[in-house]
Amino acid sequence: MPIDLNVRSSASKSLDSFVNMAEKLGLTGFAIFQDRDEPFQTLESGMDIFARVDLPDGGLRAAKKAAKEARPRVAVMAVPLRGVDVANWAAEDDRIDLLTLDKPNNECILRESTAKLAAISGTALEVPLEPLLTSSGLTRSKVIKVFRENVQTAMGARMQVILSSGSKGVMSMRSPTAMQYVGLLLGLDWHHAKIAVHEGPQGIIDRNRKRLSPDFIAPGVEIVKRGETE
Amino acid sequence: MKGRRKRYLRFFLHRDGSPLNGKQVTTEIRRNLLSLYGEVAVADSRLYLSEYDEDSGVGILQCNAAMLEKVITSAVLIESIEKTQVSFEPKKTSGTIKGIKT
Repeated sequence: MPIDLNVRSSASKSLDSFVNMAEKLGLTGFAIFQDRDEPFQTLESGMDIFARVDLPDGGLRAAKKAAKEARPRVAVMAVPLRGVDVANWAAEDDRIDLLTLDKPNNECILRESTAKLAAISGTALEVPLEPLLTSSGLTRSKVIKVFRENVQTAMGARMQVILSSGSKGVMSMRSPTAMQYVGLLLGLDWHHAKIAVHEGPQGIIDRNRKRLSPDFIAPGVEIVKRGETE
Repeated sequence: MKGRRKRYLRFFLHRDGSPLNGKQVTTEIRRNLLSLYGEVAVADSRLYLSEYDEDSGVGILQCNAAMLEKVITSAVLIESIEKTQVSFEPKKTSGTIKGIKT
């Protein structure tokens, strides 16, 4: 069940066009940055909409505070890969789902030690396709360099890699198969590219659906049946 | 010559604007293939558009089997053609034109 975890639909009126396009492309759901009443929502058409937030730049303390406030309200929480301190914290903190390469430049360097922490806590590296669509020539080669090097580091540390569109417009969305082919460009093999598009995003959503359930106490501990009070 | 097997790809070109003709589509795929993988890749690709319906956006292209992945990746990364925003969706690949239509 393919899900796109990164759709940057800004105005609520354009949501319908994104839903329409997602249906055409064979997606079963996508995550958006709009404020939603619920972290998980299923539309009448059957399309799943997930609330997502990217923690703002501004240091470790600000990121921790934002994470604490946002976590109960969102299905997906991501941290842009910038400084080492924030990246290491995000990699270790199991509330953070994604380390994202939203603005790929020379500062976006995933360290091997960070990737190993992320592999243990289940934080994934997110590679959005949008920068590859909107750049060309030498600029795009620099984007590809950043993406390929970070994907290689993540794979070497057994950190999960996921692919998303990062689309700001409807036509920037891509079908799951299309995204798999971009995965090959980034150095993934076909099997891992499929996981990065299908199982990876779905796994994050399933995990958070469970965690945000009122029956969840801690990892491995949940209420299976409530006692009756007399 | 051995190793020059053909491969066919059925695709759907989503667009946000007026219809595009087949020449515009192949030119843009070749341009992106050149940008991503270079002149040798374009030369080796032997890329042609077998069929294309301008209105529906459904088409079949053929290329050298060894270059199929690169051709599809290049097509997927096209953002726009002649200022028309597009999204290239690969549907099915096959070794024969008959197989691609079933």
